[in-house]
Amino acid sequence: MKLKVLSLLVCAFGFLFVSSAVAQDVTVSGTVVDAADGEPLPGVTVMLQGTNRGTATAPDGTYEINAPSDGVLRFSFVGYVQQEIPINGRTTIDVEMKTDVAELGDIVVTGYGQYSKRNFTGSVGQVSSDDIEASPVTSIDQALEGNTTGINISASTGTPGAVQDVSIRGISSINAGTSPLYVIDGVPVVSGQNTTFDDPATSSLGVLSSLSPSDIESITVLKDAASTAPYGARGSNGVIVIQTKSGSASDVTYSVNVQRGFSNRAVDGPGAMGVEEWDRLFVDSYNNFVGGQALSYGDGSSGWNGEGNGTDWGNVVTNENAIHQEYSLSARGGNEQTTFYASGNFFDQEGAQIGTSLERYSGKLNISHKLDDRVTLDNNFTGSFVEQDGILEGAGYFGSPVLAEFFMPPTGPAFNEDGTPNIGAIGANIFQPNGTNIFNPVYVQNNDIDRKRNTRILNNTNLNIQIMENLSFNTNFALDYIMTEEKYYDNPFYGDAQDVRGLVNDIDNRNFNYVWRNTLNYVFQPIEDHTFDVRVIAESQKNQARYFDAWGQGIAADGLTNLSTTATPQGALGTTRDWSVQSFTGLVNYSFNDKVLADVSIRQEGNSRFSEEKRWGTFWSVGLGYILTEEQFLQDINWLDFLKFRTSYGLTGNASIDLNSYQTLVGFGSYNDQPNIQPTQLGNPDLTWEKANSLDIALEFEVFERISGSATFFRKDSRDLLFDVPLSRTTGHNSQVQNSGELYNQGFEFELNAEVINTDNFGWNLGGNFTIVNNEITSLPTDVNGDPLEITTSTRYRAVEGYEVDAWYMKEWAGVDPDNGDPLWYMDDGNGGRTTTNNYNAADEYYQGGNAQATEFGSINTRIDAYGFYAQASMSFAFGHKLFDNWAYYMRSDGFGAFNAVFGQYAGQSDYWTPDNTDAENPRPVLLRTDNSNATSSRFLYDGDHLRLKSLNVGYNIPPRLLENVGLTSATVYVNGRNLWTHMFDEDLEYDPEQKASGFTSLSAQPMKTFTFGVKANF
Amino acid sequence: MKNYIKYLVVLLFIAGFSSGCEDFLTPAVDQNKPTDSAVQTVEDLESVVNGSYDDLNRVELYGRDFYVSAEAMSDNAWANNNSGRFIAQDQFNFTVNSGYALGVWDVFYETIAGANLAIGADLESSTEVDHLKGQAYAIRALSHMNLLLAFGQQYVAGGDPSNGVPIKTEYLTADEAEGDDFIPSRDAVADVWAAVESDLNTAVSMLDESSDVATEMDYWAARALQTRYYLYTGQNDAVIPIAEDIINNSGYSITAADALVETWETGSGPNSLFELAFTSTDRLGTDNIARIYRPTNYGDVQVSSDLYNAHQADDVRLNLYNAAGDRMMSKYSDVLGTDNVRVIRYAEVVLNYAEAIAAGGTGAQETALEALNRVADNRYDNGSPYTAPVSVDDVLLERRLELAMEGHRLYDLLRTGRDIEVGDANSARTQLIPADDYRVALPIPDAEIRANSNIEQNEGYNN
Repeated sequence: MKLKVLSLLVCAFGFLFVSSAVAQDVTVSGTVVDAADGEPLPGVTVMLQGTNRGTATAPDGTYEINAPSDGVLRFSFVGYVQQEIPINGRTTIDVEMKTDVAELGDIVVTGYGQYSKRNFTGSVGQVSSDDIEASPVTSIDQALEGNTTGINISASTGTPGAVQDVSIRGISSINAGTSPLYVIDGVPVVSGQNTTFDDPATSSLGVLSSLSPSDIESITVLKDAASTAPYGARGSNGVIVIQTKSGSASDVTYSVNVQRGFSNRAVDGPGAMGVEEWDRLFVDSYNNFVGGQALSYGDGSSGWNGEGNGTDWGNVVTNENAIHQEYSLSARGGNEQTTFYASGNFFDQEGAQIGTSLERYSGKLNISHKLDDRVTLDNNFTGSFVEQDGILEGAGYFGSPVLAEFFMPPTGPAFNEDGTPNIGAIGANIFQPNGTNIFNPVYVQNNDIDRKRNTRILNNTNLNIQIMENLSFNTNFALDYIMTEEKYYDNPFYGDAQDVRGLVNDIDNRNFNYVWRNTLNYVFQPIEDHTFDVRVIAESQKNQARYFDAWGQGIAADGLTNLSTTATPQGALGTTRDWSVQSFTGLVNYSFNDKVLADVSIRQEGNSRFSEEKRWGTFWSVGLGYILTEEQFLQDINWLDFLKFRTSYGLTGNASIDLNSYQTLVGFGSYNDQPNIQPTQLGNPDLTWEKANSLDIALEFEVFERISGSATFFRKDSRDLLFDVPLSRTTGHNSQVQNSGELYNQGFEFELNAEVINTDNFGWNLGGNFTIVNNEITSLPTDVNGDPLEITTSTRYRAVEGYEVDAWYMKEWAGVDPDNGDPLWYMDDGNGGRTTTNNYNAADEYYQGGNAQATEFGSINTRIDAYGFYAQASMSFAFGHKLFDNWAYYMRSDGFGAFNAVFGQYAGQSDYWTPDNTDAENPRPVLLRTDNSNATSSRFLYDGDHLRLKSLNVGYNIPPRLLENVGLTSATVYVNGRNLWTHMFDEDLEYDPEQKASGFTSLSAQPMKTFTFGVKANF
Repeated sequence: MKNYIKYLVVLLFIAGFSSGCEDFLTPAVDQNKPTDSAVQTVEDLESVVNGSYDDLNRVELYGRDFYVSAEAMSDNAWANNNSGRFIAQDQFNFTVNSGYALGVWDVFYETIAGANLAIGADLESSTEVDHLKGQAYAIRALSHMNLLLAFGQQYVAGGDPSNGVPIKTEYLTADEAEGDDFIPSRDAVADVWAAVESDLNTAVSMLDESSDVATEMDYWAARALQTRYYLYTGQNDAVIPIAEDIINNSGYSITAADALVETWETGSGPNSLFELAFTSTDRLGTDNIARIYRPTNYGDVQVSSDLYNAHQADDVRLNLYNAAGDRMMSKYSDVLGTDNVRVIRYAEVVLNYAEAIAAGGTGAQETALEALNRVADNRYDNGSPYTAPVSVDDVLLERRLELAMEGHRLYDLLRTGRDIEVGDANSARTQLIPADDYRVALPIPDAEIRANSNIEQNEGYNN
């Protein structure tokens, strides 16, 4: 119904403009000058709007043209702002052309329109192409880190191409998605990982890695209700708007960028114990177990006879100075009618872990063509192919090089005498006469395949019709096609599939997403000084995914990696799924005298994730702005250049839950090769939108023409949370998604930028941004007895009233008892105080003061320009979060489970209690101990507080006079560094402070520090 | 004017396209079906029953954990910590966050949910329908019984006899549930036993006696489960006639001595009343029993010296072990996990029979020795070592040997009030566990306690 109303509306407008009419011709003449210096401008195009009639200005800047007396003249010239001037019966029109200084900082690209930043009431953050190019990143969202407020980024692993976990202004939901929406050239696209299951076994490959950073013009982060409103529920966690480069009406310019560099781990990590110390721990823990001097150091029982240095597995699995390189070539140009941007890009990066790399090939063509004066056709096309060579990581996989670094016994050896990987008994000793169960990672990486390939086509066709001078219609159809092919091959001889003589697993995930959007835009001034910009948007999005998965076992010979060459097919799976969203949005942007501003939006949105009765939601937002410096009483203050107050408030919805969650369903499988039916989903027909009220209040200013900044307060109250309410398992189900619970995120954002020095030859810029964000659950669902349904895991308050989402909660480590080397934990003493105990089960659990999300973060940036040289640095910082080492259970075992006898241990384990070392970090080691000294406790919880030199870039812009002879117009040589220096405030933290959003170290590849050398040239 | 017409055509095209998509927001449901219309035919009902079998097959239950844990938590086996699996069971080191306890609780109730969906199916009674529903009743009985054995307070000193486990007899959707339906409290131990008995009786009355499939809980399997139930609850007199019915009429027999290893390693043979099916395409990957028992890169659960040494030198069952006597090799030999898991064997029925007689049950056609020798005569090269009068201890010893590593030992010790000795010097557990120790019952999983305020925690796990 709503659609029909809209379509009638569209048609009505159509007729309206068909009937618009024509008037009498007059001759108009005048002079065009540069507004800055008053010099005449030759060659300026003067067109009569709506026709092909036009001329150009003479060398003295004059022109003459025949035009209807009610016509509109359009003046355009490269590098100047285009002007459209109604003739209004005049015969002389002189024009001053202003230089096009509309750089990024002045315009807000929201994806559904471009607004003057000055007059925008929403809250946005922006990153320019310069910032992006400054860092060699595989995934462009990495470039956002530290460059804008309110956004927190962590990589799921350090493997090239891995998915980035991005959160904007905190975590606003417990179970529903918290990822922002990504918008490319105005169109919502697929983000995250395009695999059907969030398979934690192998490296993730984010689909954003398909974009070449050199094609990006700008990235804008939309944060508050007013700016995200047009995207509805998909934008409820914020929107990241990516604008790619477009053509220009000028001679073709070519850009080439070549860079090459190398990477290493940014932080060394805990390292593994050397063989001598490991042997000592082995012997001591054994003797403590049997209560005597049964073994002695280096007697061979640990597998080490006192000679040789054993094997440093960290060294074995590290790809030192991993190479990366990028080559990109682009061309942009065009004429009055047609402009284009085209590029090709090749990127190749090795990871710091053996067996990891990423390759990307991408091509782009953006074309804009004016069919006539009223109609513009744009098409943006990107095709890309990304191949990631990944590894098993994220948990305890025996074939993973990350695991091998710590788990492999240091007695080794890793290689045979002929240099081939040792696949015989490694680390054999009295506990494992046949050696370790862990596979030699070198052999596994040389012979097995863990590969993901993304083929992506992103196409966006846009037709804009200027129906009347102030009324336009725009239709946009965008498709995003991603094919992700996963290939897993385990060789038949050694490793995970040796028992089954090899394994092949092929998985195809195809995702097709299309968005079709129609917009009517009407700008009018009913009364002088009161301008209204009205947009009506109808949008439909559908996403269809198909998954196909087959695997087989039994491989005759090495190198046969396809399913057809397996002896026994083992399984085949295939599914199809879809979701869709439809919406109708009205936006009104009002301004009075460029002083008082208002944005209002209202949106009806329907989502296939809810039942027919609950499908549609209505959301709205209001934004107000007041530019105080437009008022007389402030104009006397000379040093105050600009002062603006803005605020927004609105209601947004979130629908990011699993598909089909509302339905009560059975699933199908097999038993004894016969079909089976099982109740798989309890469903909830009442399921509907999660809602959030967002408030944003900000002050923006500029003083002394040098210092600008802003301060923002935000608060987002989320309610009717899409909550996986745990069920009594007696129902046959684990949980049911319900709308229940409340939480809020609130905080402040500050930005400050100062041009400390700005002369012709020397410039110094200093800036910074700082975000504070707090999160608290204020209400939870209750069962019929009124008891809150809290969710607590062994490490956290997943959801408990009065605490953050996922607040750390566990037994609290009290150190080692100096008297006897026992592990100690805290427990309540019954009198309101605390005492210690060596009984793990008696110890109490305590809230550990925070979760894995930084509560204060930001960066300090500076840039110095001098005589063609530049140096830019960005130091990021994050405070208030904690990280948990969930594999310390094995790696700091103190003897539990004899882990220290069969696996390696962290280097820090060498500091253990002995009668001579009573002030030790670790308890007295006892083989096969049962006191759970290594069980979950704050012993393995660390503060993540850190400073990091995110980027340090130095370059030289070669003077043009030196380039003329070689035909270049500009050239820059540069050295970029990323993550070069890191300082952790917690002395005990040895892992990199930037871990995945969950805060668990999880045996994943670690972040890298990178050096890049490059040359960029235009011609 | 020509241009205007062009625009108009474009606009009309868009307008027409926009208004033609009524079903745009209806999501595809391609892999599932709505529950209320899922069971409409006998074939559907059969699939639902298969679904319950498939739940029993899961790694948490008979696929591995529940089955193997009854051994690891006894004097029969110990965990070597090769991959860290079963170490908590060996040490009786359970917290309320125990993954093992949660798995057992969770999946048996999922099994019951499926069985209830089958039992509640609105299909007219027929031989086929009754036979399928009868299986569902027997599966439900087995599941409730196992839940009670794992979590009930019947053996624990100071345990509250009203703390059995919740009895679930209906599958409810969110719309159908009312009041406390979704947060049941625990039913008393005696009530759970009564529900098991009732379900078994119903099953036996509905199952088709002519259908005999090893991988289905058929008539003779349900009858056999009755003997287990009556033996476990001390109703020896009730064991005897049912056991005799099975011995005389079912056609099953004890595996012959010379076929023992082969039967275990290659097929089900004449002694398997009910086993869960695993096939080359429907199995659990690396999480199977063989990979835990045999020396693979898991290989965590080893046979105790106590068990191995309990066999006499002429016991043919020694061939089931490795030469060193610390590994069970032949019961579950395929490391790919395609061996069917034996849940109820004929030998158990015979041993139930012998024990019932030895424990004073009346009305038997045979003496306890005769009954016991039905097994023993087929197991010792030099003939049965037993002489009259056969004691319960004799039967339990033979039971331990015959059903070794088949998931019986823990419950045989507990129901007869025997302490759990340390079976092997290498075991990480160094103390015996008294038969009434609180740890013989698993903790009610924290996840359940937090979701269900009506559930009480077990004795000893108060945190």
